[in-house]
Amino acid sequence: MKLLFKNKNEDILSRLKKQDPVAQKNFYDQNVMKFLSVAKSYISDLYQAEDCVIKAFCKIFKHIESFRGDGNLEGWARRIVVNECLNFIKSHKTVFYLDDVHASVLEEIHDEQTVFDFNAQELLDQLPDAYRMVFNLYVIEEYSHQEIADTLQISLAVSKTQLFRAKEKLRKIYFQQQKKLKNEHV
Amino acid sequence: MNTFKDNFEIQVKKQIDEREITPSRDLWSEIEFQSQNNVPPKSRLNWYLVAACLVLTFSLGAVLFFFTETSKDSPKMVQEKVKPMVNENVKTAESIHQPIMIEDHKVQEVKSLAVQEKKGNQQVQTASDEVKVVPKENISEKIKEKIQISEPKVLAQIDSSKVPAKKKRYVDPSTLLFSVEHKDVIEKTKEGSNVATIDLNIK
Repeated sequence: MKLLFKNKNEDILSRLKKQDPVAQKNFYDQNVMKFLSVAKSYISDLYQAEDCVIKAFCKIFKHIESFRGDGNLEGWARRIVVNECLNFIKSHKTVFYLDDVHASVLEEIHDEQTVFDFNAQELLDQLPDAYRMVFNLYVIEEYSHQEIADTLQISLAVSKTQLFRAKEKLRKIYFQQQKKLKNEHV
Repeated sequence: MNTFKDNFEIQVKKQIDEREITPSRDLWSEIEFQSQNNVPPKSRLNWYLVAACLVLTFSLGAVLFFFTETSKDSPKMVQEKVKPMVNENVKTAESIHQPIMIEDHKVQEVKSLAVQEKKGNQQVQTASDEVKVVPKENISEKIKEKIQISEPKVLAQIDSSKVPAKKKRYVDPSTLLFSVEHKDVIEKTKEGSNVATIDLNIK
């Protein structure tokens, strides 16, 4: 089964390298919704996220020759999508990385809940760009702090700080939402 | 506390990973349009490269072709230039044959004169005072020697190329005969011309 899957992937890859339009369309159909979801986690505006996905697909098809086949093709393509989103944020918005750390919100997060009822996208949309980028790269893309620092061209300490602050902010937003819901019910 | 943190992050990651968003517009047509716009410059560049390669190969071929042609022609030019020099230095077959004929005539003349001398016991006076009667065999040997010596000289005389090809020099047979007979007397000047010094006082 694995062999069949591998052969299928290799077939798609070889056809993509030949710039086969049918293979390109198949690859697009398979991944567009996933990639748009990734892009949307970085860019709150759907239209702008779609623009990034378009650019990412163009880059994928153009630079498919540079994919050596060491890893997963989808993973490689996903990285391109992420980089495209980061470039978009950098070029269109001024990103401020705040270094000061305050653990003021921690006291509010003592309510341990095993079941979460929240929309992750809604929470992420409320994060500042700097926080969101670091949080997404660390939590969703599973980058290390060093990789984040290299990608965003920031220091290691700033990366750690931004992640901490992003998490705090998310929890704060989450609890605010919960409080609102409780008040509405009452 | 940690459980909450971990669970929260895991939940966020899970939601984002599992989520799929349908595009609000036709992205594929835009991708196709953009990729089509991107592809032609690459192909143009390739065509430019191909054209450049073709031009280079044609130019190189032309250069090589003309070079070989000129190299083929060049010996002809040298031959044409050398010819007059050969005439000048009495080294061509014609010039060699002519003196033989002349020598023959002269020998005959001398022979006839010798007969006359025998008959009349008179001294033979030739145009020049020091004309030595050379037998035909000796002359031919001398000429052969000349040919043997002169042949490599012709190849070595590169200065002859300076002489225009069209300008042909004709050798007077009598002068030629004189030059052969009085080889010892002829001296070369610094300018390269041959000068014969004849002492008329010697008896």
